[in-house]
Amino acid sequence: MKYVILLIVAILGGILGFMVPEIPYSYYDYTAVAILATLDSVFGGVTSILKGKFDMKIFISGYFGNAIIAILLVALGQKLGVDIYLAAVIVFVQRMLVNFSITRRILIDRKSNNTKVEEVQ
Amino acid sequence: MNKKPGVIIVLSIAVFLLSFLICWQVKTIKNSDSSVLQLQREDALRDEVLKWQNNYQDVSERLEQTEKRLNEYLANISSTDKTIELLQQELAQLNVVSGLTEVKGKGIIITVKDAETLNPLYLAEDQIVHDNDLLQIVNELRAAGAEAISINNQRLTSLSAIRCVGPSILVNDVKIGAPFVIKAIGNVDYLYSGINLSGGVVDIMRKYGISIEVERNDNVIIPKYEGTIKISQST
Repeated sequence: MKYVILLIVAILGGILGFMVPEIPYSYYDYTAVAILATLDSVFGGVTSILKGKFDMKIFISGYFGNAIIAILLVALGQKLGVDIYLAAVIVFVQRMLVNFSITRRILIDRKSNNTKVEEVQ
Repeated sequence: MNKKPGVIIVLSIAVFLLSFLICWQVKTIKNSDSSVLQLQREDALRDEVLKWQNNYQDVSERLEQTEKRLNEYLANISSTDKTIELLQQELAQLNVVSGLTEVKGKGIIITVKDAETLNPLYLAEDQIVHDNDLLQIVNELRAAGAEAISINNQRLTSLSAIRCVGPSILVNDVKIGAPFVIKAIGNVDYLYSGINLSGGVVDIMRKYGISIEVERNDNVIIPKYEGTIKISQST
């Protein structure tokens, strides 16, 4: 049920994203980094749910905080003439991969040994 | 694992924002394609230049053909009618004045070159040929009654401009370089003495070392004006 809700919400968001007018040209780096930041947070959230350590406060603050800090870094980079957003991209992608590998391990463990994971949770 | 309903709400908001942002960005990128925009622009401009060059050649060829045909028509018509013959004469005269036909006749040929060895007594600038020097020579020729003038085979019309662009000179919007050959048709004696006037423009230029040769010629050929004349504002 909850996955269906998430899917519907994702589709709604996508439709809305295609309906609104385009992003102004100069803001385009910012949204790219914001996307990565939110993607990272969502991956992290999913991982922590599977780990059973999900904390709402940490998730929400990370979700918005990461995006805002990443955007500020991009702005700083543009002022300094350095492509700081590259650093943000690398860090976020690395974290996403790490989170994904943790998720993967948890899911495989759960499949191969159901009872053990139940205990962990 | 998630007993609280808050978790799913927060997660769905997060996913909603995420997919919204992604689709927004995708839409923008699809429409603008920014990363290669610069290169594409350069390429497009290059293509455009090539296209216009081809166009220009085509059009000038067509213009030539059309003019030929027009001349044939005129020749055919005027052979019969007397009044049209008179008009034809007038047209021929006006064409000479406006530079639309090639003309031949007695005249002078002036060759202007930069000073070969720089004289340290004068400024180096004064020892090379500028647009101003050509303008002054042309002005002198016109004052002496020249009927047709060309510089490096660019016919001067009443609408021609002579101006400087970097190292070369623009006449009729065509770049020309040294040596500058100025041909003029008119009363040879008047032209010759007008140009060689002591204390005149040529005399002064020679003093600075600019090499100017003036020769009389019985068979000066001056080409027609190659461009098109556009009159849009005057009535």
